[in-house]
Amino acid sequence: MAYTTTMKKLRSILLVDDNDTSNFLNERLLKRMAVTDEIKVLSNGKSAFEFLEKLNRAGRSSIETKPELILLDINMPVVDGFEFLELYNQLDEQFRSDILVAILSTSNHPQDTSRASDFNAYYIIKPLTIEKVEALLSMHYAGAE
Amino acid sequence: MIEFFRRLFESADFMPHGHCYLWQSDILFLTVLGDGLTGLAYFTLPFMLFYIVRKREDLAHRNMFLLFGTFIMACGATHFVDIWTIWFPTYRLASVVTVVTGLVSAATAIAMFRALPQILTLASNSRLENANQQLLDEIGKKEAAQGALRKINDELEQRVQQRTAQLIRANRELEKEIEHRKKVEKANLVKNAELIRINGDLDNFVYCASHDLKSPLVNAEGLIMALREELPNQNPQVSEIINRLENSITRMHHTVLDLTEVSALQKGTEKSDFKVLSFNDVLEEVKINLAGEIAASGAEIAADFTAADKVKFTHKNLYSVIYNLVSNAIKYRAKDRGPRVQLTTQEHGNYIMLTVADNGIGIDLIKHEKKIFSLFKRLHEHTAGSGVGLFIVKRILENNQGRVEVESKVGEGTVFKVFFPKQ
Repeated sequence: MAYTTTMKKLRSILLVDDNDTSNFLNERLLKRMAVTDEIKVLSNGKSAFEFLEKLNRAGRSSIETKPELILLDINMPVVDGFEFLELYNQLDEQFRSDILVAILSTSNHPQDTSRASDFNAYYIIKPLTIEKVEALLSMHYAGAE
Repeated sequence: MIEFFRRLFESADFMPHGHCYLWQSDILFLTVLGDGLTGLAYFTLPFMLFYIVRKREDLAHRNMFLLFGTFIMACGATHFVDIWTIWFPTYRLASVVTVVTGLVSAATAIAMFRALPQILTLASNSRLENANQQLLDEIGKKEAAQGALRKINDELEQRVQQRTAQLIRANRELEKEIEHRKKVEKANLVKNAELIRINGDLDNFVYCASHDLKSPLVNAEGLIMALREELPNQNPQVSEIINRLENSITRMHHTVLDLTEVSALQKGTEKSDFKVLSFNDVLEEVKINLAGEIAASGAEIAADFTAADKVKFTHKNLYSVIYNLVSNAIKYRAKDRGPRVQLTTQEHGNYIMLTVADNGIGIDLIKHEKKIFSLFKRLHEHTAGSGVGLFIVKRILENNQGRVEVESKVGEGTVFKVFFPKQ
């Protein structure tokens, strides 16, 4: 089964989650939706931040593709989702300007959702579905295009 | 007159008085003897009277004594003059002495007359003694009375001392008790703080547990969906297994969601969340969300909120109360009749009472009253309940100083009465 979408293809998507199965399912879903050709998976906030920082330093010379969408879990070892966002916000604004960050969590606890809105991040409650991805992208790019 | 006093001591003109007695020696002798003795006596008596006056300073009628003394002495003088005139006839002098005696006697008589009433009232010695005795008796009685009084006084004082001692003891005991209470209170505070901490830990635990349980469940659901997609043309056995797997996981997911909801109940509500809410509006919301169940069961839902159409409460909680009670009324319907749910309100003292009555299967309250409001307790196997609804209703009311009551008859229906405080 192939999903056709009217949306433009994204450069690359970064999945940051310590749960293998979540990553497996989300990667599968995104691939089937064909919203991108490149999906990068990292297992915690620390490695995700290091990856982005390296991209930022390398600039255009980087071999890796800069992600256009980051799907971020909250509960992760080493550096969790919110700690990642604090680090991420210190990167160049120029660099961050064309990246969309969405938190992807099972928690619908007000404590988590309100903290996410403090960071101006989208908030998606797991499981990730085609509808949710489409809603997120159309919401975000509706203003842009 | 001058002539008279000039010749006061002359006797030439008169005869001596002895002539009257014809100088008979026996008469002369007796007269001189009588007058002499009388005169002597009359001259000694006054000195005794004067002596008494001088010695007894407390004497009443001192002047009377002095007058009597003078009067008696004057009388004595007349007797001596009488003896003198027997031989020397100085009658002018004798008359003067008699006049003086008369004057003193008259003055004494007058003074005596005037003092008479007072003298009559003068107490006699025996009377005085009598009075004295009486006084002594009185004093004796008074002393006895005083003694009795003193005794009573002593007893009283003793009693006061005893009481004071008792009071001091009681006071000390009270102080000890207060000290003890303070200690208990302090211990309670410590325990309370500990309980609050434990409660917080528990909340945290439930939150984390439900959160950590949710991820694998969500994943399992996703995996089953993926499995369905990947397995081409499933055979019926595989299909049934997948269905059962999905059902189990869905049920587990619901339980975890309920748990999350229960743990969210423990969190306090803000004052600003309280609003005046219309029962009817909230019921309409509930009806929309239960539209599927209402349609499937053919439930009739009737409401009459005219007696009390509004209540001050948090929207989330009022919705939860009505949602759970109405959805229970539909869930536990009798098989042989369509469910009817009747909602009414009324003022009830300091409360607004919401009544939710159904014609469902009813509850055997004697057996189950305690159970129905407990967490994860279900009385019926065949229904879809998770055993959280009534627990949530009860907890919401308890957290907000209200309460919930239940009346039921097996086979006829159940009535829930929810009391919202007016405040």
